[in-house]
Amino acid sequence: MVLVLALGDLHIPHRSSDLPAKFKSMLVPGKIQHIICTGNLCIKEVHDYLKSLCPDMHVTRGEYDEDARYPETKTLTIGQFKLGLCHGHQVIPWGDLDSLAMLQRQLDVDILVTGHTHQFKAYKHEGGVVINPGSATGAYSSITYDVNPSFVLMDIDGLRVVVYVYELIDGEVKVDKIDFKKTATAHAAH
Amino acid sequence: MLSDAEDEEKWLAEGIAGLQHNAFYMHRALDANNIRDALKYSAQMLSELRTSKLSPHKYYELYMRSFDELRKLEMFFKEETKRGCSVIDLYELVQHAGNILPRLYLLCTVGSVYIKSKEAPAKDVLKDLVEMCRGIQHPVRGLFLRSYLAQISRDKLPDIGSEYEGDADSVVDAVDFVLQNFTEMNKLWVRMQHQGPVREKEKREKERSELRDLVGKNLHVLSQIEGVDLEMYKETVLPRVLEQVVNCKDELAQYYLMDCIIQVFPDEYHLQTLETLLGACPQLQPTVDIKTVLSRLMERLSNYAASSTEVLPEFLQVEAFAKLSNAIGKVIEAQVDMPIVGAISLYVSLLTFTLRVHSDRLDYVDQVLGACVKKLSGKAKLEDNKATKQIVALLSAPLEKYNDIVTALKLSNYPRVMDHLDTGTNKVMAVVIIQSIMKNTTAISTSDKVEALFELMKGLIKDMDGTPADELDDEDFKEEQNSVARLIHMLFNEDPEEMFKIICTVRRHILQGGPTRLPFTIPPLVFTTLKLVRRLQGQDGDVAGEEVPVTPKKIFQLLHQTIEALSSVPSPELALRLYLQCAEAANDCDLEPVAYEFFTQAFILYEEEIADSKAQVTAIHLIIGTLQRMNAFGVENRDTLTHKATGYSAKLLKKPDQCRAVYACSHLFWVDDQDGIKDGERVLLCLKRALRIANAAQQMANVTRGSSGPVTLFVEILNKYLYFFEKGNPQITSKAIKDLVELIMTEMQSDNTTSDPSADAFFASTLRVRVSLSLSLQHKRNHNNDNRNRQLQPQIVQRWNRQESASIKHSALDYASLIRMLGKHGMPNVAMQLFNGMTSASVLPRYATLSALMLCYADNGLFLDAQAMWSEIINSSFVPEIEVISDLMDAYGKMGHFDEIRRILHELTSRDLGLCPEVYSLAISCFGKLGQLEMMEATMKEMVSNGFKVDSFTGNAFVKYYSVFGSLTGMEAAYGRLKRSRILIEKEAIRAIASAYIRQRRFYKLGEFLRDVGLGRKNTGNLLWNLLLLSYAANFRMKSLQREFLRMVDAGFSPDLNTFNIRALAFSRMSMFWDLHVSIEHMKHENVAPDLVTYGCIVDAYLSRRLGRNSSFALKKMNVDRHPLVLTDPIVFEVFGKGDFHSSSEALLESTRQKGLTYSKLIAIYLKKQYRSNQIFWNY
Repeated sequence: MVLVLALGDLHIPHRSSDLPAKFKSMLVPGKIQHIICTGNLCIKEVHDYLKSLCPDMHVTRGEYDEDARYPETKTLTIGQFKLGLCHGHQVIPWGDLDSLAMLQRQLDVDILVTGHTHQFKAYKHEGGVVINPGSATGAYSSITYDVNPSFVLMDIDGLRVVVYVYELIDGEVKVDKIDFKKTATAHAAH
Repeated sequence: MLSDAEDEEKWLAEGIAGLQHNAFYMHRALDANNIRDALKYSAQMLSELRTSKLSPHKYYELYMRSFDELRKLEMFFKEETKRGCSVIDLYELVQHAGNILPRLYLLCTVGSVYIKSKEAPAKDVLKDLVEMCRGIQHPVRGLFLRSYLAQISRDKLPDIGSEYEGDADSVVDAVDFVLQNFTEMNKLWVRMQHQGPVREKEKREKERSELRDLVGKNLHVLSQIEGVDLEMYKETVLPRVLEQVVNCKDELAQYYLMDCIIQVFPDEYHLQTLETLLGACPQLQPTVDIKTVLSRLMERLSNYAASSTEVLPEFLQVEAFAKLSNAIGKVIEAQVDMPIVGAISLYVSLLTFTLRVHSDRLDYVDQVLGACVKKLSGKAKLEDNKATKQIVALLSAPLEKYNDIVTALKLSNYPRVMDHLDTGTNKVMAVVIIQSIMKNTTAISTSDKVEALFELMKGLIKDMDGTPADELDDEDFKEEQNSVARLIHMLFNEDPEEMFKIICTVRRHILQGGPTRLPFTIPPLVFTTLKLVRRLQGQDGDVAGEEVPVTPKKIFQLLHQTIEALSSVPSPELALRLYLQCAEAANDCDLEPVAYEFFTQAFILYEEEIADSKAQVTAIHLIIGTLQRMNAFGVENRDTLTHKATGYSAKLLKKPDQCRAVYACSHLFWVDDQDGIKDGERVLLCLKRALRIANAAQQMANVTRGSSGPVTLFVEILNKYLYFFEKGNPQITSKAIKDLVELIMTEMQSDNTTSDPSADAFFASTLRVRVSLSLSLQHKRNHNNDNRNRQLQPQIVQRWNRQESASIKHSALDYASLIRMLGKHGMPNVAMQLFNGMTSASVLPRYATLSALMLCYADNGLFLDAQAMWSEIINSSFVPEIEVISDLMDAYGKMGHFDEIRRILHELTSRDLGLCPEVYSLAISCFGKLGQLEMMEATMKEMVSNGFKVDSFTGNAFVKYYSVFGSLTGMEAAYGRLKRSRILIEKEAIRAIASAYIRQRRFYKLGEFLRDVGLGRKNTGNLLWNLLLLSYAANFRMKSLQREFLRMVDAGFSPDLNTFNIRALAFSRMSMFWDLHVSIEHMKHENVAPDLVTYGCIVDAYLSRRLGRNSSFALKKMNVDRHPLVLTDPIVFEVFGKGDFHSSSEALLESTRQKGLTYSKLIAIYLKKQYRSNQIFWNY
């Protein structure tokens, strides 16, 4: 069982002063094995903060990130799952599932995590999952009105992944979950 | 000094030895009940205390030993009095001791017993003792003696409730006694400093300090006396103690005793006597560390106040704040030399006290700060580290207390104190303020407060005078500016008008920040402003007629100017992003001109300022992404902007970037909204342009690297085609998609393409999409056009099906056809990925898909994989189709894997799937086809022995392959078996046998065979007859030929082209011109059109006799303007070969693409050629 924290679009300090206190109290070091961040952190302090939660951190570059070393896309394998990461401003139309699916195919991943729209989304699509963890700070977005702060925890266990969504609605943290099972790839040929 | 210490040790040892010696004898005397000796020896023992050689520290050791001995003596005295010895006598007796010091110690000891015996009032005895102790004026000896007195008398004071309490005012006596002892001790203590040489003053002070507790103990005793109530403390104790403190004029004593007073007496007393206590302070020596004393006092009082709310009224009643504040003022005034840090720490203590006790009195807090400002005024900025630390503490205290900067902002002196900080500390303080705001999530809600706040933090907001910019540490600077940026989000008011004022205030301040700060501070301001815009959005119409103070338009103006400020930095990338954000917000407000203006600004920046290629790519993505979402633009504006955006895209530095940007632009012409633009043609134009660029990229890669990479670009474009196809763009045809798929396959196959597994996977999954479009639709619950797409879906599948195979009905079957196609293109890897993707998409692989994949493997020589697939199929519930088995066997056969075929055969037959006869038949054909007659034979035998009936097809095949590959005998035997099995020989086998005979030129046998089959058979057409004629023609048995021809006609068969040609060939070769003519006439009569072979017969016949010119005689009877064709059965050529004209014309027909060739032309060309070759022949 591996816990993966997925979040992005914090936009600190451009659009928000900090993560919500309730989120901060939930995110404690030592519980999460991997962090994947879609980008737009935007400053080093935030990077350092996340790194303090879990040193194994993967970030892609958002259009406001000061750190130009983040890659545009990234793939990594966790357990049986191949994960792809991209901020999403490169995928036009923004937030369009079909276009994201193309990226998912291109990266050849089971789970694609993108951001940019600041709206939580999770689809099961073409045998994979496309997730947008939303904005962890509930930052202003030209795309989405009334953004609620949200992030995603993925519990990867064998061929199964449970996606928990934490959303802050009117000061209360609401949790939702989505179950996803990957069918074992038939490698009869080998 | 060392010798001093050694000497001291020696003296101490001597003293102790003397003491122990005398104590020994005293004990003996005590045991013997000899009072006189006991007194004698005890006096001698106590004489040791008379020494003045020891330091107080060593003296103390000696004293303690004596003290222990004296306890024993006291016990003895007590026993004595019980035994009847008069205590008064004892009291008298001890006074006979020779030396005063031992005498007084003994007197005190007996005095203790005396008081206990209650034979005299305690107060009288105590008074007597304390008076007599005056006899010792040596400081150390005196202090210890009086300490002894204090010690033994502690539990014998005539206190209230004590057993020694006397008449009415005995407490006064107790207090008097202690005070007197205290006074005397203090005097001795103070006097100590004047004894001995001046040079040892320091050492003496240290020794004195060690003795201070002896003095202080009296105060402790005082505080323990029950009878000392507030009244007495106020009237007697405190004034007398203070009098002593003030009058002794000794720094050490004053500091210690003041502190002692504060620590030993109750808080409540202090509060009530605050004036007296504080009144003493200015009278103390100027060198006394009064601030520590006061700080401790305030600390105690603060704690007292915090202990219970009930005590707070007391503070108010005595005006504690005023008194303290006053006293501090006076002390600071009086002690001119006090360092500034001392004064400030006093204010910090006072402020702490104030915040604890009078948390509601902001004016007090401000007053303290004011006093501090006063103290600081006229001085240069603080450089002293400790002092600034104290000021930070001073300024932080209210923040911590109120958890609210808003309260602190009300303090008028707050910023004035901050002004006195050096720039660095000022910033630190500003950060502290911001952190306090963050921690408490304080909303700053009015522009006044914002103004005040920014005034406080001006150190962070702009360059302060005289601070060189380069002195700043980069990291620190970033951190500071980021905290300012964070702060901006804490400024909020529900009312848009006030919010706008706040924004204007912030803007005014941060624009002073200069180029280094603006990139940090402008974005948060812009986004805060955009949030306000969003709140106002759609509210415009609500307030009809009234003057609306804040409109989005006005705000956008402000935003425009704000972002413009970034140009001075310059920070074009950030500015471009902000402009685009504003454009989108303006779009949402339906302000077309404003949005257009923002876009224009963004474009100007892009063109003029953004030079880095990577930055350009990101900027282009943002421009396209934003533009794609715009719906406020009219046609003209939209066209201008999209045109520019597309232009930029095509001009990016790297080809792949160009390509991606251009295909992204296609979305500018197709917006999947209800009333979004849908210009299919321009979408297609973009995609085609992208394809051209991808192509160019491919070529460039070929040139530079010798290998090409960007197949993935093509696949990306294919994805876009599919996207728009699915969206119903009529310009994207399924043919275009198919062409693109094939193009990609060709590219991937080409030799110089580096194989890229990721591109393969991408392609495979893309192919999967086109067939699983329907599946994806299920997942798109949120999709608006769901219904439309659902209707579209069958169409798509159908369109695809029509091209691929008419029989395919289901999408999964379609995988099969794709996989076959990939297999034929030699791309088993892509096929495998496609298949894997399909299974992971939880599409159950159908039999057709599995078998397609298996065949794909087999075709490409991947036999292991094919085998694996085969066993999967055979072990599942699928019953393999006979066609698949056939294909598979063929594939194996082609590679010579005959054992595999046998294995498959046995696997299938052993399972008894009802397919056995067919499978055997397949195997037989397969082996036969490959000339494996023995295996064929064996299989046949096995089939028969397993009880399966050999059908006509198998039997015929059996014969056929024997004829093709076997000897004539073998063939004849096989034919015989066929006959025995009562299976009719069919056309194919007949032909095979015939050609076997012809090959061996056994024409007679052929004839016999044909007769055996039966010339009367009708279901073989003219075949048998024609072959018979051929067998005669071959040997040029012209009569038999003629005879059999007539018999054939008689038997009711109408001669066909083959019949005539066989005859014509024979006639032609025999130069039987007449018969040839007749035959051609007959042909015409029978309406059989001649073919190239027929013409060849004529031309060759005439030319062989050098009668070329006469050939027209025969030819004019035929239609020479037809297109030349060969329709004759090839078996005929096996006998006669092809004629000269026939073969040369065939070669000509194949080599020229010339259309409209007719027989006449062919003949003309042929004749010319022959003529020329003849000429050459004759000339040489």
